[in-house]
Amino acid sequence: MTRLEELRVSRRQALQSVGGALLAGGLVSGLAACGGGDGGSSSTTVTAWFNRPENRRAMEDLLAAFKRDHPDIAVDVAYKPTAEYPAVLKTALVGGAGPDAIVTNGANGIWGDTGADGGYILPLDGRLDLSALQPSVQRAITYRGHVYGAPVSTFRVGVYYQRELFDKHGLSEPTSWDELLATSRALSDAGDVAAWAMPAQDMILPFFFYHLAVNSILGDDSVAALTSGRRKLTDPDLVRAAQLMIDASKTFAEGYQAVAYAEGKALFAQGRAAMIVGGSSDYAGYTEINPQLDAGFFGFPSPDGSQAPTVLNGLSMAYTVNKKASDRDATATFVTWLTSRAAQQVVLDQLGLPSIDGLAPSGSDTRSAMLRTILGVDASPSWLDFPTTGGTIVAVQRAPQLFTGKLTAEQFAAQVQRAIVVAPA
Amino acid sequence: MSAGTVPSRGAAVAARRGSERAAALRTAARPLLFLAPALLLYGGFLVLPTLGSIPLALFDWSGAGPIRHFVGFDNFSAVLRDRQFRDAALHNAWLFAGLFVFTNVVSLGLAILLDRRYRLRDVYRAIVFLPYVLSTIAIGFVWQLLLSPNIGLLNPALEAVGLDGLTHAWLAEPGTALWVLIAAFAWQWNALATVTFLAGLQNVPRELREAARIDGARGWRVLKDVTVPALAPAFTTVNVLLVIFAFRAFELAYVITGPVGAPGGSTLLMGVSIYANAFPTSGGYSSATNVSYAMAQGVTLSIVLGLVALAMLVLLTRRERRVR
Repeated sequence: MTRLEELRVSRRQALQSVGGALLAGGLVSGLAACGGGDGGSSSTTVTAWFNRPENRRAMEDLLAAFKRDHPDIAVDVAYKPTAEYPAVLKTALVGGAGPDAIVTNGANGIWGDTGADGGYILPLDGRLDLSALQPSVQRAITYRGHVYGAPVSTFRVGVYYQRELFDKHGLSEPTSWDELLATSRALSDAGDVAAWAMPAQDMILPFFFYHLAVNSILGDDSVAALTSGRRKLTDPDLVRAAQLMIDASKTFAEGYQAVAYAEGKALFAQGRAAMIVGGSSDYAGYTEINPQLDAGFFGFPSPDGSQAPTVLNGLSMAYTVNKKASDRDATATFVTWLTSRAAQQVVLDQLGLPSIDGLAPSGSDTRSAMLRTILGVDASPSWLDFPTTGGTIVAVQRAPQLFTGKLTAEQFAAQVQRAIVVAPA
Repeated sequence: MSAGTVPSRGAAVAARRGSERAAALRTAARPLLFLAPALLLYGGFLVLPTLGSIPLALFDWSGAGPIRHFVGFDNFSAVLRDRQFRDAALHNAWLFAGLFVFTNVVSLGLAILLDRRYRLRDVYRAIVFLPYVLSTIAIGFVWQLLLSPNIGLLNPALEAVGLDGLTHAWLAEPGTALWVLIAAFAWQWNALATVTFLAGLQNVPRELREAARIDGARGWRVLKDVTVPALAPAFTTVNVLLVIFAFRAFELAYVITGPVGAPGGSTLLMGVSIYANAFPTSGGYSSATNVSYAMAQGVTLSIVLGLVALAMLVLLTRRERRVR
């Protein structure tokens, strides 16, 4: 090698060294910047959406607890309005702009087209302790042999009532359909308030009323019986569930067909209606409208009172992991942590019913007392947890003519039955 | 040809023709230049998505996930068999009929009143035009607050003036709900219709009416034989726009009577039906949608609407020519 060549090589080496140093320096400073300026400790950020802005405090408490357990993972939560969330999420997923951790409103986000069916989420097999979860929750998060979601909270739907009004008219919690109708008529005839707040503009509460009535006959077997084809909603005893709703509709609040859900909720909370079909997390909303509310809760009675009253039990909220998550492992760590005992206690105290057994509300306030009452009623699985029966809510929405007399109970039942995917064993 | 020589006659003619052609091209291109931004927006946000929706309507696609199953024209035949959609089309037809009468009577009458000279005329004009600039969603909530069976203001107001017999569950009875909805749409539509008629009236030469009066014609006769015929172009514009407005109606109906067209589907419009199939409306309890079906509904609506609007345009333009 000549002197000139040596010089050239050494100059090249020197330039490479300088360039390498600059590059390394840039990378280090870049990574330090990504670390959020916390002294250069390695950390990762998971983006998450939350669709109940009214429960922001509960989410913040969950995040604080998560941060204590996992200081290396930061969770950046965006709060999305509840009503628009399904459309917003769907649009984002189609456009490839969803968050790392996706909150679902119920089980349809797990198996539906914004979940596993759409191919947007990752399985969480082996990452969750299934044995800690309630059996119904285990079924709801499992689809085609894989576990797809981390369950955060569950719901129970039954009937709230105004205790004071019941006492005033000498009424007690009904134990059969006849008693339910008699109670409704007594309240309606008394004339001071409507028997039921039944906001039916979007047909969602009528769906739950009908679902409760059917489950009060089929009980725990409801989903299995319907999806195996052993029972049909058009069976005469089940058609009575639709007829019960028609009969009870004479005691619903005036103009109920045009009443939006929020207005119906306010009617009940303000004492202008004696009963409302409601979920476990609705109670907080009622007391927010009327802190003096003195409400009771009962399960839907069976037709002749021979079986225990029932409430519907389903998955209220779960988190799934987006296939496009920037850090899948960190995202899975966050979502599965939400099923931990510590997280579930926060859920029970602030958000809704937990997805694991063995917890009790830690407070002594009216909400905690109400949750204890709700947890004390026998529960049967909600159709909404399963892809084979989940379409029934849309079918009920498409059949509002039940209340205008254009559809008979039989026709209504037949229409809803068509939404059930029957797969005989 | 060397510099300084006189160009031949042929070359001069060719050069003149060339410059004339360039000038003609510039003249032709100028309007296009002004139209370009609007055309780009129209094409990008309306024409292209509409055309893009046609192939999607040939699949069975929920709106998320992979597009898998080709179903040909199944969605279109299902749309034609869909009784709810046919009912919705009928409601749209009622909406059009109601608005047609309202527009050509009330809006025209208002325009004539606002065309006269009196104090505060401009204030009244602004008031009439106000609904057009207000948010449709806000208008919907106001109508709902007025007419709600439980918290509505209209029934207590009727009771307060001793008209108890007129109180109704306006939005809850199938017999009144559609008419209430038509009234809400009329209130909103009236603004544009009145202003368009007013603009038309201001183009009618005052001398024409004065001449008719000198000839002995009085109020109704002048209106019928002079003003209305001279308003033919305004009638064409208003009524063609009305067809589009009435058959594409969505937001106000969705806010006032919800996703199922309460009560009992008696106010369901085609726009609401399409939306309910394309987007989840079960409060998050179900994310199930059928976007391909919604696309087929939309394409069917666009074709029918296009044909109806075209037919009206042809008819009204012919009428315009006859009047001239």
